[in-house]
Amino acid sequence: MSAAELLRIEDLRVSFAGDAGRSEAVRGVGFAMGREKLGIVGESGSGKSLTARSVLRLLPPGAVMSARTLTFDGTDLMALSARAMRRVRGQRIGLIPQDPKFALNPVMTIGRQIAEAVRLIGTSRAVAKERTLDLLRDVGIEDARRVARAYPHELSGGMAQRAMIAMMIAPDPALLIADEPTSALDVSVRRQVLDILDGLIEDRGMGLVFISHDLGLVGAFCDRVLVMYSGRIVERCEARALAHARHPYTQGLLAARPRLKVPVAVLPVLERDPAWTDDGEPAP
Amino acid sequence: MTMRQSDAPNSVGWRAWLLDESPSGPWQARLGRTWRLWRAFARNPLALAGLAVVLGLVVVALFAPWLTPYSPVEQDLSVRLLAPNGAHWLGTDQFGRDILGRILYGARTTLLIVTLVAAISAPIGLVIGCVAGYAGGWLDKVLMRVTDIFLAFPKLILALALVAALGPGIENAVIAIALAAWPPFARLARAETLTIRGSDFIAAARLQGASPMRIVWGEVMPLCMPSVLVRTSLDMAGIILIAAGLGFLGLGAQPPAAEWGAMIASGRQFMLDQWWVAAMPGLAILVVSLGFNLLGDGLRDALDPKQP
Amino acid sequence: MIEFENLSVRFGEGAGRVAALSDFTLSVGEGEAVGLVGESGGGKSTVLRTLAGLAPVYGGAIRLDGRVLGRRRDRAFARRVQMVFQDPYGSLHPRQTVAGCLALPLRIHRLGDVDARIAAVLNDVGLGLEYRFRYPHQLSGGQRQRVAIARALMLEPGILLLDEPTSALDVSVQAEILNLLARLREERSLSYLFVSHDLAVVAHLCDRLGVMQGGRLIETISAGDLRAGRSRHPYSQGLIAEAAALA
Repeated sequence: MSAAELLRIEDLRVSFAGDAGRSEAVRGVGFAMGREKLGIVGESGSGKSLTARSVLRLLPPGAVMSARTLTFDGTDLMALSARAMRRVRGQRIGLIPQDPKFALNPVMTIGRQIAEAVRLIGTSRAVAKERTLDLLRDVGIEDARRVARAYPHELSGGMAQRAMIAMMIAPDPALLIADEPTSALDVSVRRQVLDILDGLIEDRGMGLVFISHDLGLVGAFCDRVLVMYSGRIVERCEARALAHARHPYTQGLLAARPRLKVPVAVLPVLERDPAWTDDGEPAP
Repeated sequence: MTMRQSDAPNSVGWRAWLLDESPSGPWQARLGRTWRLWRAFARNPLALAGLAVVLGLVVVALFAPWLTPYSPVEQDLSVRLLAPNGAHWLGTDQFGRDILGRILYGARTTLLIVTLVAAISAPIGLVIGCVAGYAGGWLDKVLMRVTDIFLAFPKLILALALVAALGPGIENAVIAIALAAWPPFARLARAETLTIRGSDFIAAARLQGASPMRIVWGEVMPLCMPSVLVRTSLDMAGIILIAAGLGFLGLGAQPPAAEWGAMIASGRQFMLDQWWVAAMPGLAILVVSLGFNLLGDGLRDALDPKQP
Repeated sequence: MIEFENLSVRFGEGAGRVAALSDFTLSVGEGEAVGLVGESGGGKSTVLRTLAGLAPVYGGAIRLDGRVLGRRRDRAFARRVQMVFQDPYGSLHPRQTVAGCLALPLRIHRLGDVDARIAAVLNDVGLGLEYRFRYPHQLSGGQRQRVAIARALMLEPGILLLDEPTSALDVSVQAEILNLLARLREERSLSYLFVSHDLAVVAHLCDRLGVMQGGRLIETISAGDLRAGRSRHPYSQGLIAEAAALA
């Protein structure tokens, strides 16, 4: 864990209005992180994506969020005006969404989109152009000029995701939130993108929140892991200690995966204990 | 499921039955779905306003004779061109007929025309569009070129030409407008079908040995219906205006029958001094068109598949 | 039972023509579970879709039970081969209840005893009768996939084509579905042609695997050899290394 605290969340709650009254999707999540790689793992409906997007206060319409503490790099995010929050988003915190094909503007060239992100911090057009090429090379794209002239649909998934990363690190943020950044990519490309992300985080001293449903991937890539179930965090551990997880849900998830080197006739099925929804109660 | 539901007041019996997560019969499932759609629709006040206007039109058309003491056709020249007053809420026209009464009776004509036109043109457009979109190939090309021919004419001009050929009168006006109104539905249905055609559930149906007819009728068309329904409601305003236009030109309902467009036409000459003769039926057209538009918008928001 | 002989499939026209499949030769025997692995664009789904009659004209031949298949698939084919698709959200008609969806194949083939058959199949895939009149959006991903499997079983085929059936599911749900597929295969003596990009999943369920890249079958290997890392082609070895790294 790193010395200076970058992000602190306490008692985060997100709820939606539904046919049967309000329902809470995130029920009292709290954690703190420094400049490290923090993985948040959970299945669909666990609230992991909502938690991450709450940091950016970017929630879907109809969602209501509240938190006792939401502090980023010394700033209380809950107290910020919409305008001030806009400056935080993109300039101090970046978001890498899952599918670059949907997240990149299809009618603008890559170069133009990245330059747009660069100019948000007030550089001139000429400087932005050079910076764009630098950023593309930073993410391992050698032929930066060609890619800058290309449109998103002309790039492969891995290349597009790297361009997305370049766009997000352009304003030199302190924290990156990656929401399933490799789920839409092929397995071999995944490794490439993760290596680049790793390098960037090391070089620039950023923090990373890595959301995924893939426990193995997060265990191999991140420093620390949080496991979410039913809107709460039920497990917190170092990534390398994941195999010795204590909560039965985590153990169940680990056991349910088919593993190449360990053949079984019948995969152990996760038996959900209804008592688990009461676990992970936030500290008062 | 992983989301916690807070306690909700679903104690009312039939509401709970409709919202039951595990219906025990196909009708319970269908009614439940309809109820949820209604709830989504009813959350939008403008949509409800539109629905109220349309329902108002129906009620007025049905009960016109009981809603006004005046006859729509009897003339009384001693009370001609009176401004709106206590006895005649919207004034009288150049023949002494109560304008409000004529508007109420005119609602019948309007409702008749729009209902018949919608009932004819929307299904025709839906079928042609779905068949063309699913079949592809030469059938698609032929059907779309036919559609293009009809689309090439502005609707009012085409309706005019057809009525001129068929002769004036309500029935011919309905046929003419319907023939002018079906092409956009066909284009819309075809566009939806092209999207649906590549879906896995269509592939599954093909793999089960379903014939193209069965697929178009049973799988594709039900999915195109919401868009066509919304479009129908939104097009109503245009249809009302075309009908009024034909009436204005004397090609729709024939005098002395009350028809909003014809009322505007005959009120034109009095526009400066007795503005109410033309303005009131114009207002009626405005309100009803707006009502259909709001209804259509509300339907679109409610029927929009936000769920994955 | 199924024999692919030099299958070639091309999409597009003129300069933009793409060879989705080239010279694909493979056979699936009675009761066998054969897997196809490789990355996206490798051609694995194309193989299934071509067999199912969902792809355009192709070169080469496909034999089913010894007879060469023509361009169209008839009703008899539907009672022999069925398919389970990848996306649980897209493979069920959004306006049909579960019962409606399952009754469709029976209606097409004019089979009776609709309610009894539906109840039996739902029981087989582990769904209670209370799911019969739900719409797809009222089901979870795993439940939808069970319905998709139930639908595939309605006509009692001997061969199931499975196009990444668990890729869109959570890990715990995937385990349930894989166990279900294994049990069904044993109970009904089914043959599987299973496509996936996940090596561990395929190795769990299948006896034999074909590795595909760029539309070509570059290697066939038994599950045992795969686990032991005894593959011959560098591409396969790369895939195995990746899968093992994340275990």
